[in-house]
Formats: sequence, C-alpha cells, structure tokens
Amino acid sequence: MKDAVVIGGGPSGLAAASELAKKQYEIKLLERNDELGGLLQQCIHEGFGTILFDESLSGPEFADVFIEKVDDAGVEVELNTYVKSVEKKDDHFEILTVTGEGVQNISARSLVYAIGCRERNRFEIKIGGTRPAGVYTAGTVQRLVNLYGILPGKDPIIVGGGDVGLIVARHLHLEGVDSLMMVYPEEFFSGLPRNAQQCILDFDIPYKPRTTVKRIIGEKKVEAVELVEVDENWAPIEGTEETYGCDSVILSVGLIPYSEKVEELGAVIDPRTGGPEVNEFFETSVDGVFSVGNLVQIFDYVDDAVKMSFVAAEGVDDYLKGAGRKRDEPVRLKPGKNVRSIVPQRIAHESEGKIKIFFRPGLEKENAKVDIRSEGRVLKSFKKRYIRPSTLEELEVSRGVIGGKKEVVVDVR
Amino acid sequence: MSISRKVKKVLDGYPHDISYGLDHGIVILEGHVDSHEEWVDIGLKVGEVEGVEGVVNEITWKGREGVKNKRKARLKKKFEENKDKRSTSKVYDVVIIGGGIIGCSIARELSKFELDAALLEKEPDVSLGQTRANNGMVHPGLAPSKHSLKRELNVKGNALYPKLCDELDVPFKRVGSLILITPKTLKKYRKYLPGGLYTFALKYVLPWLVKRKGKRNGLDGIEVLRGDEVLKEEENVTEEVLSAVKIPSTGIVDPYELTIALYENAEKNGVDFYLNTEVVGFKKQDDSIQRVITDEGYLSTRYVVNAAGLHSDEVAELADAREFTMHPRKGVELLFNKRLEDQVDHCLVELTIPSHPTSKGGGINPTVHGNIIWGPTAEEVKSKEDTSVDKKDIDKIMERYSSILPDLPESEFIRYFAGVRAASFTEDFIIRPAKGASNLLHVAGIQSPGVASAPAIAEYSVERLHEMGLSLVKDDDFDGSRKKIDRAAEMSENELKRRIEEDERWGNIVCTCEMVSEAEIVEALERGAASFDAVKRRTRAGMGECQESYCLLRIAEIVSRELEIPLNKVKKEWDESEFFDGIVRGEGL
Amino acid sequence: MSDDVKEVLCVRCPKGCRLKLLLGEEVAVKGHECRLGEEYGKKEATDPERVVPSTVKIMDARWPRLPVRSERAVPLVKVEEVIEELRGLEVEAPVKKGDVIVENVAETSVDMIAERDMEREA
Ligand SMILES: Cc1cc2nc3c(=O)[nH]c(=O)nc-3n(C[C@H](O)[C@H](O)[C@H](O)COP(=O)(O)OP(=O)(O)OC[C@H]3O[C@@H](n4cnc5c(N)ncnc54)[C@H](O)[C@@H]3O)c2cc1C
Ligand SMILES: Cc1cc2nc3c(=O)[nH]c(=O)nc-3n(C[C@H](O)[C@H](O)[C@H](O)COP(=O)(O)OP(=O)(O)OC[C@H]3O[C@@H](n4cnc5c(N)ncnc54)[C@H](O)[C@@H]3O)c2cc1C
Ligand code: SF4
Repeated sequence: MKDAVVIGGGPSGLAAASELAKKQYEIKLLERNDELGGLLQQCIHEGFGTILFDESLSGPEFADVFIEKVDDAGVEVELNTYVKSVEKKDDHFEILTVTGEGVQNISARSLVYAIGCRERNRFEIKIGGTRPAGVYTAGTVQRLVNLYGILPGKDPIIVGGGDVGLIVARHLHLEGVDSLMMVYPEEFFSGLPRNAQQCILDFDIPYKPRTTVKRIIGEKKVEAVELVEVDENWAPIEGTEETYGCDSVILSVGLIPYSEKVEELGAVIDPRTGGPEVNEFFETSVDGVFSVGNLVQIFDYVDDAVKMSFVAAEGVDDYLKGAGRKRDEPVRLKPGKNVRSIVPQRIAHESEGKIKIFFRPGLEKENAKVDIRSEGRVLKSFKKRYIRPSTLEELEVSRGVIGGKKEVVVDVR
Repeated sequence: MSISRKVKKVLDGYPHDISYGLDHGIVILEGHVDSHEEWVDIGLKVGEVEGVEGVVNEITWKGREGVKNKRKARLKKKFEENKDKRSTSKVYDVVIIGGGIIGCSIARELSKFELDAALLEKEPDVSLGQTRANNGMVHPGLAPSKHSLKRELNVKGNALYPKLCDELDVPFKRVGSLILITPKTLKKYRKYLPGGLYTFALKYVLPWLVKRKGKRNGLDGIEVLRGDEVLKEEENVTEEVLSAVKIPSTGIVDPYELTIALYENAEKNGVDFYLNTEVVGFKKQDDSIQRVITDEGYLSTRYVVNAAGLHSDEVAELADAREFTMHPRKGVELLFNKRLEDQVDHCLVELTIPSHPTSKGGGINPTVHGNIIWGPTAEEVKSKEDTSVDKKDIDKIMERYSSILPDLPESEFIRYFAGVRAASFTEDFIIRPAKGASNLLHVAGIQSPGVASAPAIAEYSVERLHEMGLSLVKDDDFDGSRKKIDRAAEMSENELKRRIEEDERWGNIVCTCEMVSEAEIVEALERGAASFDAVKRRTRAGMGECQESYCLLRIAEIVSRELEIPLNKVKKEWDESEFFDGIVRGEGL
Repeated sequence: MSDDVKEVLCVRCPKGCRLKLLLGEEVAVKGHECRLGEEYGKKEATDPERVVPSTVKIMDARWPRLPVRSERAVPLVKVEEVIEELRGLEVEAPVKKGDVIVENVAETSVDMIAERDMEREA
C-alpha cells in the first residue's frame, strides 16, 4: 500500500510527489509519457521560475529541478503508464495500470491528480469549413518544432493571441517559415506584454486584432482561411469576411483541464474553471483525492502551480495523519461581480494561518478594488494595480477573516 | 396522359425554355435556369412523373458549365494517356467501380463464386465517399414507399445484418428505434384540430397510422407506446412526448468499419482491389464494354458494375449510358462525447408532418462505440465534394434536436462532419442493366438507407449480373470469416496481461482517450492502412474527446517508423495531404 | 515611423503600456504610467537584449532535437544571426544540461548552452 499515488509527472505532480516523499511517505508517481516534465519539455523558451527562484529558466531547466528532487526524495516513478481505472474502496484506492510490462494493481491511501490540461480544438470553437490536413493546436506545433525539428507549414496562420500562440509564433519565425500571420479576437494580445513584445513586435510579425477564422478552405490540405472581424463580444461582423491564403492553421484558443478522470471518481467539477472543485488544500469533493496544477485551473505561471502543489502536499500529509480538523460545513467561496472563477471553491479546515485565493478577473481595469465580502459586509479589501481577464490574480487572507462564514464572495470594482 | 405530356406539363410550370427528350423511360432535360435551386426543383418534379426511370438533367445554371468542362477535359487527358496502357494481363469477369459500402458488398458477394473480380477505387482507401460520413443507422424500412426498390432491399438488408456482422466480426446492435410524437408533430395543422382533438390525434391516430404503414412495409413487432411508457423506454426524452412507435429491428453499425471488413474479406477470397485508381473512360465494341480505362492503365473485363456513388452519373456518361444525374445533397452531423453513452438507448426520430425542410429523416442515434450522433441535415449543394460545415449548420442541428433531449449538455459535442448523399431525381435506388451498354450494371442513386440495404443490394446486384449472363459457380474455398483488430480497451485484465507478455506493444497506450495501443496501430498498418486517417478509421486512435491534440504526433511517429517514411511525409489521407511541411532552418532530418 | 521613434511594450507589469521612445542623445520615454516604465524604456532604447531559445540536431538520442539557449541575453539585433549560426549544427548524445554547444555565438561573447540532459540511445 502506497501512502499516495501521484498521477501525472508534469511540474505540479513532481512538486507534490517530492514534497510528500521528503516527509517520509511512500510515494509512487505515474506518468503516461516516456519522460517526466509534462508540457515544460516542449517549452524551450525562458521565463519559468522567476517567482520561485528569482531566476529565469527554460521549461526543461525548470522541470529538471523537480525531476532531481523526485529522484533525491526516493519517489518511485513509473513512465509509459496508462491508468485504466481507479476505484474507491472503504479506506483506500485501487488503481489499475497498463504498461509494457503488464497490468498492475496499485493500492494507495490517497491520490494526487496532476494530469494537466489539453488544448481546445477547432471543433470546440466551431470553426467551419472543410477538414483538411494542416490544422493543429499550438501545443502540437510546439512539440513538433522543438522536439522533432519539423515545421507545420510554410505560411501558417496562428489563431489566438495568448501566451502559447505568441511563443509558438516566435519559434516559427526564427526557425524558418516563409510568412506568418496572427489573428485574435481581443482588442490587444491577451498574452503577457513581455511575450507580445518579444515574440511578435520584436520581429514585426503581422497581426490582426478583433479578427478570427470563420472557415477553413481546402479539400486535402489547407489552402486558405476566411477571416472575419469580430465586435467586442467576439460576434462576427457580417460583410467583413476576407480570404487569406495559408497552408496551415495553428490554434491557440485555450486550455481545458483533463477533469474527466476525477469526475468519474465522483468529484464535483466547477464549470467556471473546468477543473474539480477543491478546498484550500486542493482536496476535491472526494475525501483523499487531491488535484493540483493545470487540472484545477489554468495557471499562467508554472511557479504558482508548483507553490500550490506544496500546499496540497501539506493537505495530503494532514489527511494521512488524520490531523487537521474539518469544519462541519465548509465556507463556500463564490465569484462575485466581475470575477470569472475562483480557487479554492471552499475552505474546509479549522486550522490557523493564511490561505491563498486565486481569481480570474472578468474585466480589464486599472487600480481595481477587490473586496472579500460576506452577507453584504466587506471583510477585507485589496488594491490591484492592473488586472485583466487573461491574468490570474492572487489574494492572501488569514483564515480569521473568513472563518465562521457560510459563504464568501469576491468582487472586483 | 403519356409520360411525355406529363413531363411537358411539369416544365410548363417554369418560366424558362427547357427542352426535353424521352428515350426508354429516360428523360433528358436541356436549357438554362437562373439558379441551382431551380435546377434541383425541376429535376425532382420530373423525377416524380410516373413511368420516368431516370432524369438526365443537363440544364445549366450560372457557374455549372465551367466546372463540368474542366472535369471533362481532365478525364479526357487521362484517358488519352492511358487507353493503350495495359495495367494487368488478367481478363476479369467483373470490374466494380467504387469502393464504398456498396462496391465492397458486391465484391464480397462475388467472391463467393468462382470468378475473377476487381474493384477500382479512386481514393487511397475504401469508404472515403458517402460511406464514411453517415449515421450508421440500419433502418428498418419504414420510410420508403411500399412499392419502391428501396423498401424491398432495406427490409431484406436489415434482416441480413446480424449474420453478416457476425461473420465479419463487426459490432452491430439492434437497438430499435422510437418514432416520437410530440406537440410539435402536427404543429402546422394545429388550427384544424381544436382542443382535445389535437392530443387525441397525436396520441391515438398518428401512432396507429405509422404502425399500419410499418406493417404494410413488412415490419414485425411494432409497438405503440403512450405517455410514461415512452419515458420508461427512453428516460431522457422530453416529457412533452405524447406517444411513440417502437420499431425493434432498427440497428446501428459503424459503416466504415464494416466496409473495411468487407474489403479485407473480399480480398482474402480473391478479389483484386486497385486503390488510388480512377476510372477515366471505357473502350466499347458495339454496345459492350471491353476495357475499363483508368488513370493507371486499362483492365479487360466481361462485366462492369457502376457503384461510383455520387460520381455514378459521370461514370455512366463515360460509357455512353447516361441515364440519370446525381444531385448532391449534403448532410451535416454532430458527434457527442462517449461520456454520454448512457443517455440514449434507441435511435430517436421526432415525427413532423410535413417533414422538416432541412432535416428529413434526421434524428438522434447512439453509435456502436458509445457516442451519440445528431443529424443529418439535408441541403442541396452545388458541388459533390462540398463536405464543409458552417457554424449555422451546427446551430441549426442544436436547435432542431435539443428539444428532444433537453438535458443533453450541448457543450459535450466533440466533432462535426458532413457527407454528401448520391441522390437521383427519381429518388429510388437505380439497380438495373444500363440501357446504353449491355454488360454494365448500374447500382446508383444509393442514398439513405444505402448502408441498411447494402447486404441485400449486393445479392440483388449479383442476381442481375447473372441475368445479364454472368455464370455463377459456388466457390467451395470461400471463407467468409474475418477477424477484427483486437482492442486493448475491450480486453479483460487477464487477456490484456497475456497479450502484453507476448508483445509489450499491447501495453503502450498511444491514444489515451480511446485507449488504443501501439500493437493495434501497427496491425492496422500491416493490414494496409497507408495514412494517419486510415489508421484512425481502423483503430479509433485520435477519435476521442481531445480530437488528436494529445496523440497526433505519437501516432504519426509510429506510422513513420512502420512505413519507413520520415515523419514529415506522413499523410493525413491523400498524397496531397502531408501533415507537415518543412524542417527547422531547412536542415536535414 | 521615422528612425528616431521606436514603439515598445513595457513588460514590467501586466498592464503593458505602449511606450514611445524618442531616440537621440538623451532618450525620452513617453506613454509610461510609472517610473518602472521609464527605466525600462531607456534600456530598450539603448541596448535591448533577449535570451535566444532554439534547438539543434542531435544524433543517437530519444529526440532528434536538443533544446539550447543563449546563456545570457544577447543584443536584439544579433538574434537572427545567432539562429543562423546554429544552422546545420549537429551534436551527439550524451549531452548534459549546461554543456556549451557554441562558444561566443555570433561574436556576442555569450555561449549557447544545452537546456537539458539527453542520454545516448541506440
Ligand atoms: C505553450 C506553453 C507555454 C507556457 N509558457 C509559460 C511561461 O513562459 N512561463 C510560465 O511560468 N508558465 C508557462 N506555461 C504554463 C506552464 O507550463 C504550466 O502551468 C505547467 O506546465 C502546468 O503543469 P502541470 O503539471 O499542471 O501540467 P502538465 O505540464 O501538463 O503535466 C501533466 C502531466 O500529466 C501527464 N498525464 C496526463 N494525463 C495522464 C494520465 N491519465 N495518466 C498519467 N499521466 C498523465 C501528462 O503526460 C503530463 O506529463 C506555459 C504553458 C504552455 C502550454
Ligand atoms: C449524411 C448522411 C447520412 C446517412 N445516414 C445513413 C444511415 O444512417 N443509414 C443508411 O443506411 N444510409 C445512410 N446514408 C446513406 C449511405 O451513406 C449511402 O447510401 C452509402 O454510403 C452509399 O454507398 P456507396 O458505396 O454507394 O457510395 P460511396 O460510399 O460514395 O462510394 C462510391 C465510391 O466510388 C468511388 N468513385 C467514384 N468515381 C470513381 C471513379 N471514376 N473511379 C473509381 N472510383 C470512383 C468514390 O471515391 C467512392 O469511394 C447517409 C448518407 C449521408 C450523406
Ligand atoms: S509603465 Fe508602469 S504601469 Fe505601464 S506597464 Fe510599465 S510598469 Fe506597468
């Protein structure tokens, strides 16, 4: 019987596993790929670790820090492992895995899901037209270029101005596509200014704001797309359609937590984040099942994801020890005015100390005021210099402030 | 009234100069109209005239001529290049044109006899026409009119399914269908049916009429369900449902899986398959075809079957046997996540009278793999290749069907696609010896329920060939059984364990949404899959929720390794659809 | 845009002010909303620098490409030259994280280093 099985060997899984192993627990980590590191192995640009290490590392370098920790802490790692099923028993979980070595049953007292997210595809955003070769998600292209050294096409168009799209644009430009174009529905790039500057503006790569792809054209291979301008609500403006010739379409249109597996176990999913609902220790609504990283919500900075894995490790520790008193009724945290989503969704424990609350703003605003409120009373306010929907915000509050309340709401004004 | 007078009467209804000729029941229309819609409309009206066996609609509309001439010029060029180039020394008894479910069914049927048959398919794999994009519903035979060939072959075909799928190891489920009658069913006539009469008609009269039609069409076991009885059978349908007619014989099948199975089994029993081989013309002597000319050279043969689907009119024309014109009719479908598997048990159709203008026959179907399909729409389109889908199509389907299953989360749809039906203007199946070529059998106009009818169409077609003079001697060596590619996802723990011991590739799960192992992908390639999509159709890798966003490169890597081609030369489907183009900084791989 | 005006985004906070840099003896920054922006603008005007990420071909390893980057930032104007110098380069596994792949790349006195270990595979 393992104390905990961590599923997913990206940065958040690695961080959770190593923290737990350091506490002398017996930990197993399962990863479906043939190497650890998750998405980071393909994110070869620097910019990781600025919060945690005050140093700007590349994705593989950042991953390596935690791969080493996992090694040193004595976590049992199994690569190329497919988790076929997980079953909840009275006081433990039964995991059935499939690998090249066979089929294996693993028992664990607790579970940490760290399986990350997948990319939204063309069907989910209802891009019409034909279905030829040459339509890829940005993550696939990133892998293709950085791990295999292959380009997706000679003149791609990138749809979406978030960080992933921006980073991929720079790679494609530097690594030799003939021409490149980016379109996105927002007024301005939704990715970090740093990425907008260093990936697009530095190289004068052409881009069109308030524009999206309506149709894909080409029978066997992408030949063109039909672009259309959109209004503030991203609704296409009729009559603004134009054809743009290209041989590939790269979609960077959002990430979706892989929540299916935890949902099957009975965890409640928050439709706002797309991930499981968690408490302040990242425990889902199923006792003993924790979830961390991009599975909970899409983190902009891997540093934040990893820090939260440390918090989750404390929670697992308490759970295994039977320590930490849970409240009879958790405090519910709810997104209020101008807030799209909030994590954690509930505060379940009695203990002391501070908790971190993440929220995604519903608008762009300078000098925003953020209120934590309950039953009409403001419990605490924060000033945020500049917020926008594409950037996840963080608040730190002491438990005392919200303890004893039934429901707490976060508003932005 | 003679046929000719009736046709004239129809044409008099249009403000255009249209001439027509009549030859052995075939009407040939010429002239010019303003729009494609009119072209369709006139063709259909003429097709409805009693006694008309085929409509050749040569009427032009703006834009049609150009396309046609371009195509003709291309075929002519290929014809000239290949007409004297022999592609095989064999002389075939039968050459089948078209590798859809119909061509492949006929091929397998012929392989039961001692004869040499070949099948020619222009695409790189079988089932790439209409056959790959439909609902996979094995209709019971309720919809066609009693005296149609469609009805006869549909009812027969349906009955042949269990045995066929058993032999070929293809999943088939007799899920049954429910024809739902709701307050919307007779909405148009509501005003004529005041108060309680409306409900009475919907609850008692209409189901009875449907049941009677079914009985007349030769269906057994039809039941009428009312109110709660419907919800007991299908708990998620709208509570507004008043009654339903349950037809037990309706089934579901994966149409491309079946077609691939037919292909594999026919090939095993000696039929030669020529893929990537397009028929570009014929060489005839008197009124009999001697050679089938393809873009890869010619084949000599005694009989020819025209099962070219949407292109069967063009093939007919190449053989001087122009007897019908296809009018492409697109159908868009939405596919939902397997997660919703338990939500739908039967094929569901909401009856509306008159039938819904853009979704005739559409409905909600479970698939054999556990997904749910909504659709199809029905839209007349100009191009036979137009399988594009627009947001408005998706919205239309959502709107049309969400009222039937009010709780099905719309956000759970994972993909959309479209197929184009090979509809003829007479709308019935056309299976008969060509009037213009004595050894050519047309098997054309096979639109829905073509899948359901396929096994019977195959038998019927072979009977017609026999009548045309083909001698049929049973082949004692015929082996009708075929094994599917085993699936790790379907194996018991012990079975999978055993497999992995033999071959560790069974334990390498490449597509995690559908749990497809490396071993399955390798086997699909060994069985002849030559592209990424061909692997996908044979194994379901990449067909799950994430739609390849995780496994695309992993599958491509295996294809590259097994077929010994560089990764950037892996094709999605066709030669012209290589996935990736170019190498970082132009360096070598 | 004339040569002596340059537009850049300030990267010091998520707001991303659009800065106008008026080049000359003394650089003037416009469009910033705080002191950080001015500071950043001045630096961008005189010597903008970037870390360059890329990959090179690697033989006998799990992946056909090895990720590499410049150890420090190099002048922005040199970025494309740096990439050009990597063209056609081949290394052989095994490689260790931090190994120098190209010394003094494009005469910037900065080295290109490997971002990760890559073991030798048959
Ligand atoms: C293109 C891109 C650029 C980015 N740029 C930056 C940046 O510049 N700076 C920054 O700070 N952050 C950046 N991020 C964000 C950062 O990479 C993520 O926040 C981080 O990778 C999330 O880590 P994770 O462990 O939650 O998920 P992942 O890295 O996705 O790891 C999940 C792991 O779980 C495995 N897994 C999934 N399902 C299963 C299963 N069923 N069984 C077993 N294993 C499974 C996966 O194979 C994977 O290894 C970027 C992200 C992307 C996609
Ligand atoms: C949206 C939609 C939904 C449907 N739903 C159902 C359903 O639920 N149940 C049902 O029973 N039926 C259904 N149908 C109908 C069914 O799909 C068809 O009846 C059936 O697939 C017809 O098969 P086929 O072999 O005749 O045609 P196809 O599959 O189109 O095959 C014809 C083949 O001929 C080849 N070909 C054409 N020209 C040449 C040439 N010159 N040389 C060589 N090869 C050539 C083509 O490439 C093609 O592969 C549906 C159809 C559509 C479009
Ligand atoms: S100038 Fe100041 S406010 Fe503007 S982006 Fe830079 S740091 Fe932020």
